[in-house]
Amino acid sequence: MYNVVITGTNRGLGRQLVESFSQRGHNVWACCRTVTPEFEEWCADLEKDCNNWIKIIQMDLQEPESIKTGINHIISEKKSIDILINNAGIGHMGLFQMTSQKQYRSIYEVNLFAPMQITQMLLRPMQKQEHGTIINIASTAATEIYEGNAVYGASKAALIEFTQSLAAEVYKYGITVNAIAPGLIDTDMSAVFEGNNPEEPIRHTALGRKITTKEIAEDILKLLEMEIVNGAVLYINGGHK
Amino acid sequence: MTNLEMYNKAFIDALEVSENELEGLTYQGITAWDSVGHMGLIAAIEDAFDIMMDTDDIIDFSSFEKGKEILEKNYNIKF
Repeated sequence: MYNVVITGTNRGLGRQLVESFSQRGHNVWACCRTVTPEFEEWCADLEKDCNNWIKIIQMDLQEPESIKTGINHIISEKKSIDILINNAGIGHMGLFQMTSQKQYRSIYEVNLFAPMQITQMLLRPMQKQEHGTIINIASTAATEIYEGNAVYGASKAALIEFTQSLAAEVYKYGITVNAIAPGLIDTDMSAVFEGNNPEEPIRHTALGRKITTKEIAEDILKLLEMEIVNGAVLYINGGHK
Repeated sequence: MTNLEMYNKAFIDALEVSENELEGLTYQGITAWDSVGHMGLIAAIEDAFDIMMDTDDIIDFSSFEKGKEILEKNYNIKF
């Protein structure tokens, strides 16, 4: 049984991760910006069903001070922090020249700088306990080349580089760092990438459909069993066509 | 054990130095106090005083004397 920190948990893949990890008996610090009564109730019901604990941590990943407060709260509990999943992200699809500076800074803040800050803070307790697993949710967009992907793709490519270099740096402390690069997922965020033609992105996948959040969560759980895998990028996209 | 004794012990244990080497000791002044040794030293100090240091303080922690200054100023640890 692990204690897991997951960001971006009130919807999409993050919410599925909370569910899948809970169903395996793991405990979760569920970090999210917006805490609704519905989400609180959902977490409470899941706790009852799974006999674990789920603690909701409100934090805004656009605000370093908010991150600091939230993560310090987790650390102050003095529990083993076994796994960090940097899941929260902002999707974006748009011509670079039509993307404001405010917008691309905001995307980088959530997709790169927040995971870096959270990781930096949690590495120390992980280092002291001499084990830890960090999983960064990147995207296949990190390596794909197409119009409108300059900002989002660059932010995820940077996250992958961060993952791989950090993996080399902290393995000596018993900490592994890997990235997951999903393709198009069946979440609200996928609408951002579909534009006016929802079938177009799917046409380029061998799978021929969107990947479900449950499929990704299950593959992430399998990754946890692989102790030597470090600095890897696991593409979960059903293959290119 | 006094705060100073705990502080000294963290250095002695983490960097494997003797007590009479502590005064004037600086980051990267000895082989053991490299970047990896630094993180080990910080972990030892955090454990000793039950604190969590900010990243900026870890970066500023450049000598035996500077460390005491940071702990006094930012973590209310009196020597």
